[in-house]
Amino acid sequence: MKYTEIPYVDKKVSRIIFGTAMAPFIMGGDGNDLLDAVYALGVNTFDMARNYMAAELSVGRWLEEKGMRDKVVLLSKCGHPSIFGRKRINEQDIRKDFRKTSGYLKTDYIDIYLLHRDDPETKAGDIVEIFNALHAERKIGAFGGSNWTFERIAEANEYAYKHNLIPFTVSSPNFGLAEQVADPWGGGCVSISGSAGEKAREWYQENQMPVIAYSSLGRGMFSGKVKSTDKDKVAQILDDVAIKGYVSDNNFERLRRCEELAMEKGCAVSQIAMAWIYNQKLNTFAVVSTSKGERMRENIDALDMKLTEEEMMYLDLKKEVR
Amino acid sequence: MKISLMTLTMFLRAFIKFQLDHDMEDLLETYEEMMELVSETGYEAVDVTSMETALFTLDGVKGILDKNHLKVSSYIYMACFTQMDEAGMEERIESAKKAVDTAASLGTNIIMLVPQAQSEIGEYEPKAIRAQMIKHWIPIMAYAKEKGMHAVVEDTPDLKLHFCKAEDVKEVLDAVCGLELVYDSGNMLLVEENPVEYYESFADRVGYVHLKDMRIAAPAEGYADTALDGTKMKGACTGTGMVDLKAVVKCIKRHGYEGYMTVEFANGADGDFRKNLIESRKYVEALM
Repeated sequence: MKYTEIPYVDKKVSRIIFGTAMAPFIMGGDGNDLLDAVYALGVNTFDMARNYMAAELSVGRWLEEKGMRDKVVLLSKCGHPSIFGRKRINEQDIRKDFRKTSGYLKTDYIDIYLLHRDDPETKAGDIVEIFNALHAERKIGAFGGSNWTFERIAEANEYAYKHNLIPFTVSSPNFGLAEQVADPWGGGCVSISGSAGEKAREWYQENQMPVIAYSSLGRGMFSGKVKSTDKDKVAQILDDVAIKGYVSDNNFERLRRCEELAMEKGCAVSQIAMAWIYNQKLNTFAVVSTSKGERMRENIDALDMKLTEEEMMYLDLKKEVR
Repeated sequence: MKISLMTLTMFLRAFIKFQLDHDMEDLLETYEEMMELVSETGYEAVDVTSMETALFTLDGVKGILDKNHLKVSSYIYMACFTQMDEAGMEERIESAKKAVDTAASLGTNIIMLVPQAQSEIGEYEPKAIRAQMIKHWIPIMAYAKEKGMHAVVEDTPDLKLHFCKAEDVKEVLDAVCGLELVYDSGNMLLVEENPVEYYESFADRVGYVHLKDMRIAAPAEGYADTALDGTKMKGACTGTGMVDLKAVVKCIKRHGYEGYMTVEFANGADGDFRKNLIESRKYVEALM
């Protein structure tokens, strides 16, 4: 496992972050064995959100029962719109979410605290002030936005620098080899994948702001469970969200090219897709959800895999032949 | 005819979360927000379920509805009316009678009795299951009538109850004097029966209407109903599914039904509750 520092986070953060938006965590189930297994493999950072049903409850149980709080980095997200679409990016709702998150995780401190969505009608500066207050109260370490455009992050940070405040130091957009073809979550999602995300990637490359890539394997599209010849059966393999967001002819071609390279290199398709992320010139971390420790092992091994520039372009359909 | 709204599918995710984390603060906040949205999108009434009065108390529910100027179009009471133990039957009947009183307190004269299948229901013959419904419902119906209430039952989408086909529903309605039908415009598709013909066969016994549209569900979709042929189906956003609601409402009007038509709301794929609630209401209003 590789680790690196993120400003305002006390511990080094593993490059692979374990995602809890899955069973058994969202149902509040016992995920202790799985969490133990991924921790043992070197993953020390865990991604949650107030909106992930009972995931925080589940992880909180593990933290308490196994005495893990001081050994791990906790990332959680706040301010997701309500079920009915009410915007919740305001001090009252953010503090309420923090209270609940800290209660369920049985901790008074969240290492990385992100807004789950943006509300462009809210002044970025107001949000910077709220997060700075939480930081000053020693409730949170680093903060930032998930599903925030780089332009809005820049706006927030301009305010922060002008007012001598702590800026956003983390961003968590969708990023991966699978181009997001439609917002899979009903609105407000931001992806920096594909041709539409090029400008964003340039910004992140220049700024080296940590990019915590969610759905890094296209919600299963590049995990190995779908084959490029499975176009007709994809509804039986992937869930609605994955189909809506990531199933396209272009992504199936990317998958085919992943399979080709995986065969040549003697590795798994998911490792090629992960290596593609890690060979970018961005400061990338990947959120990975897996139900099996050995799958996590494969993802970790991918951190060391090198891809040539030509292979990178070929995988992303920027080059037709190698 | 007037329009009301069934909020069950709107509230489902919040209820599931509550069952996992027991966070009443979140649940209540969601419920209040839901009723505010219902009112803002132009509905005058809602069906209230026994789940809501159990969670938030009768006064709690009334307070929230009053605040949002919402009336109660029906009270939906769910219980194990197919449970075979004779020992528990008296208690189940008494609880249902209390539900009749609750309905009255909420200001509605409609109590909908919803049978919940017990885990071992597959061990029993269909006729025995319906016989048990009848045994429960006869005394409940008598009490409801005494209180000036209409007791109504629906062709249910849970086919394990064997209470969806017109002939099965007729068997029970014939056996329970005064019991009326909640005509649900979509559930009979699960048993391959035609919605308009279904209404025609029960026209003089319809006590309430649920306007439900239906769609085929994807294999991995949760909370779908299973049709006789194994097809998965779910509710669809009103006017976007398989049910010919124009023909259904025309039939309902022709037979002179004048009560509430509850929109059995299902959100659209865009997830926009506000927009889809308004469009569903306008769709039904246009048919009326």
